[in-house]
Amino acid sequence: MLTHTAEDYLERIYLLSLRLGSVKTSDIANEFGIRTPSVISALKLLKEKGFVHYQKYGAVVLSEKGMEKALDVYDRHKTSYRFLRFVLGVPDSTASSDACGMEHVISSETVAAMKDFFSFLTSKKDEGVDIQKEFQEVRRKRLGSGNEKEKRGENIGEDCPLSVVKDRIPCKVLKLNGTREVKRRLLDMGVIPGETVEIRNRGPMGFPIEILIQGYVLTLRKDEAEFVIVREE
Amino acid sequence: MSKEYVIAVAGNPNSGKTSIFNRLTGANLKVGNWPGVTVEKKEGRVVRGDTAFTFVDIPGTYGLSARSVDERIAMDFLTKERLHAVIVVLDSANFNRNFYLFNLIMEMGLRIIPVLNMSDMAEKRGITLHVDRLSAIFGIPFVKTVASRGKGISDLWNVLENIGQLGKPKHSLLYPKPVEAAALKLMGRFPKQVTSRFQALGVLDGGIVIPEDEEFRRVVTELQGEIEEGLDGDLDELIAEKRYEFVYSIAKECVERRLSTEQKVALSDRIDRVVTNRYFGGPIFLFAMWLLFFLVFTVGNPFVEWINNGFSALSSLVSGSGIVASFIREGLISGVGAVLVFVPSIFILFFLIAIMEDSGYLARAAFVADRFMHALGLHGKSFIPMLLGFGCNIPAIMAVRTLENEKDRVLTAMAIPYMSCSARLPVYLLFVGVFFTHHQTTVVFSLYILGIVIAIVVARVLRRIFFTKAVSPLIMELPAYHVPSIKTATRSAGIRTGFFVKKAGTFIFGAVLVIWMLASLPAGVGYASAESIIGRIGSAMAPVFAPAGFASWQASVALIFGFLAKEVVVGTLGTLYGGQASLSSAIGSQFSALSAMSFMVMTLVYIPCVSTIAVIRREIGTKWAALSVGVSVTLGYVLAVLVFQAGRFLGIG
Repeated sequence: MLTHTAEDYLERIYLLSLRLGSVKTSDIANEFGIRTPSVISALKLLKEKGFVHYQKYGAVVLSEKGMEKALDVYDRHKTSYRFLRFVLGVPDSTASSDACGMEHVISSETVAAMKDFFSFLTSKKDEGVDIQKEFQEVRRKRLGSGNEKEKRGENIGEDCPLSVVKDRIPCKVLKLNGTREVKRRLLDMGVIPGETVEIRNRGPMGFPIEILIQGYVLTLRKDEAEFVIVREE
Repeated sequence: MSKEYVIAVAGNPNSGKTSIFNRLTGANLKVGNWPGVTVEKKEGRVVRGDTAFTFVDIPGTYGLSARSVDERIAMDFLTKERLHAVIVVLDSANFNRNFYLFNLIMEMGLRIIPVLNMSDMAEKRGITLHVDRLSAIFGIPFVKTVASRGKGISDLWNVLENIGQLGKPKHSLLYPKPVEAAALKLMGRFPKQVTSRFQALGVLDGGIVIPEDEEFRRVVTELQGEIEEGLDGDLDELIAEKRYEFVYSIAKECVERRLSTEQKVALSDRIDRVVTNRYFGGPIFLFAMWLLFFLVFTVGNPFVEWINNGFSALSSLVSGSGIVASFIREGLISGVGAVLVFVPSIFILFFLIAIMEDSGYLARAAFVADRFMHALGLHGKSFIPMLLGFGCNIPAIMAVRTLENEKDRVLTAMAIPYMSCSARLPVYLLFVGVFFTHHQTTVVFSLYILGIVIAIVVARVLRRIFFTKAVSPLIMELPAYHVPSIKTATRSAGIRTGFFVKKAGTFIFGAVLVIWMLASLPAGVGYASAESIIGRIGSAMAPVFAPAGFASWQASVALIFGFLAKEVVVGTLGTLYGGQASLSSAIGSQFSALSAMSFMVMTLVYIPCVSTIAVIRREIGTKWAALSVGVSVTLGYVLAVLVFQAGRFLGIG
């Protein structure tokens, strides 16, 4: 049985190799915020167990067995994260750190069930029923006044739907939810993750809103603005 | 003709696509609808030397997926038709979003003639596009134009005339390996369903609806899952991101900005701080709507009267009381008159709508009205047609073609007939003048309100029955303001008026002839007398209206004539009750206050007129027109009976 840290290493090496092509010990040290010698001693252990190929001063490469393990851990991480973040609507930072813990203990049976639940949600969405959104609304109402932060729009550094952001505050798009039709339209019109948006103006009753994106102006109803998850910059 | 070329004209909405199309085709124009849908299709054939070009204007879109009607039409046309090239019109001032569409069309593997339109506007905003670099990167000529002023069109013709040498774009976007691999796999395994890389990508990112095939669905889901394994977001986001990244990389090479984007939208922004302001936006909108209504109906009316007078004068030239004279007078001349009488208001309306659209206000109007209209289950843009309904239902229903979504078009067109048009007012005035002298305004006003309530209820019920999933999003561009072109507006109004005369006109004309026959046959009877077919129908129908309180054959005949136009009800009652002079007293004795009320409700609700049916049929289809007739007649009758019986129960009348 692997210890948690070993799983963490494998997962991290896998992700770094995706990003950088080849991985050096110093890259891993940077990622974890630890010193290189500690990384090297951990790698020695992993090598003994046959998870990595590693020569001094050379690149760190996952073995077939290590790769299998890394993919498995990463899958559990990603599924847990998506479940927390997009099904339950937990803020990004919480979802991230919880997922880091869950990935080591969650069973593959539960992971499979989560995945089934995602496709269930998607098929419902295609039928026009957005269970996620309904749930988020109920939850927001229940949190009610306890969640003053969201109400006052003081969400700097936190993920929130564009519908609660104040006017003329630049935000970065993180994620799009919503029905395929709406999502497709938004993507085609340049509302894509990483872009900056800003609410420029509002309709007579507060909605719809005018947003500035890619240098032009787009209108969104409240429902549609709720699909756009942003973070204030 | 030695050569025939078919060329599509594509582009974003507001890119000046229509101007380019107009410049290319001039007067050679054919307007119709795309098969099966009610989206306007324009094509023009132009002969230059020994070559004929057929240009087809495809709907303006931002993307190409099967998820919206316009985009599906564009995509089907681009994939299925044998095209020689696609002219892609790009708004130079809005390069990124426009170029995204260029890239999609390029992915379809088509020959492209890119047109960088509105280049003057871009220059003014400090944006320089390096045409030479773009042409070098893609290996095809890019053409700079200012279509509104005809600049660059000759360059475009140069490219068109050498279309034989035009190659396909050289540079293209490569997706991450797993995506490309999945696309190849799909094409390999399902060569029948997936015939191109573009389609494969569409299937993967959900832009194309996957056919009902277990195996196919399973493989697609598997492939999607495989790719999504390695990334943090969804596949459709990844693909859109890559496409935009590609656009950014081209923009970096070829677009130079001297000012920031902030300044670019500065003027429009300043105008919008007032025009779509939370507090001023509403009043400005209402003023604009009042102005539109005033111009269409008040300014249009003198022309309508000229036409009316002209046709009356023409009829009076035909003397005699024989059936032939009557046929010419009441049949032919009034039939043509019935069609032409709508021409002024339709022309003015579409002229003004084109001006509003071109200037950029139309989108703002929809923005301001949307919250209210959305609450009623309609779209912000439905407001204008609904409002116009108070003037005349015909131009109002024609105005639904400004709505992008088919569901909104249908629901709005089905609701409009209940908006009490000006032709119904003479009927109200006649009856309130006799029965409700002290409460004239209240009674007439309540009829208008009743009409609005019915319109909303009908729209909501039809939405429930036919379009359960349909909430069309308000994801709409607010284009930068600019000075509208009178020429374009005139042309657009001319095309649509012509469309009305040709397509709806024949139907209206035919209906007038049928009514004339019913009123004049069998030969020898007095026009619309009790002995005529129409009189006999009226007598047979009269008992049906007994529960509604007006069982006279004259009332029934008047309602039948009301099919022609509602104000005809007054004239018919006048004729049947022995002249206009004695009409008031005749009505006073034939109706009670209560039956007058139920008669007015019937007049308000049942089929507005044949012209309305003709236009509904043209705009949204025969099925809907038939449903509209059925619903309005039933509803009118039921409500009239309800009013009369309820009144009697309460002891009124």
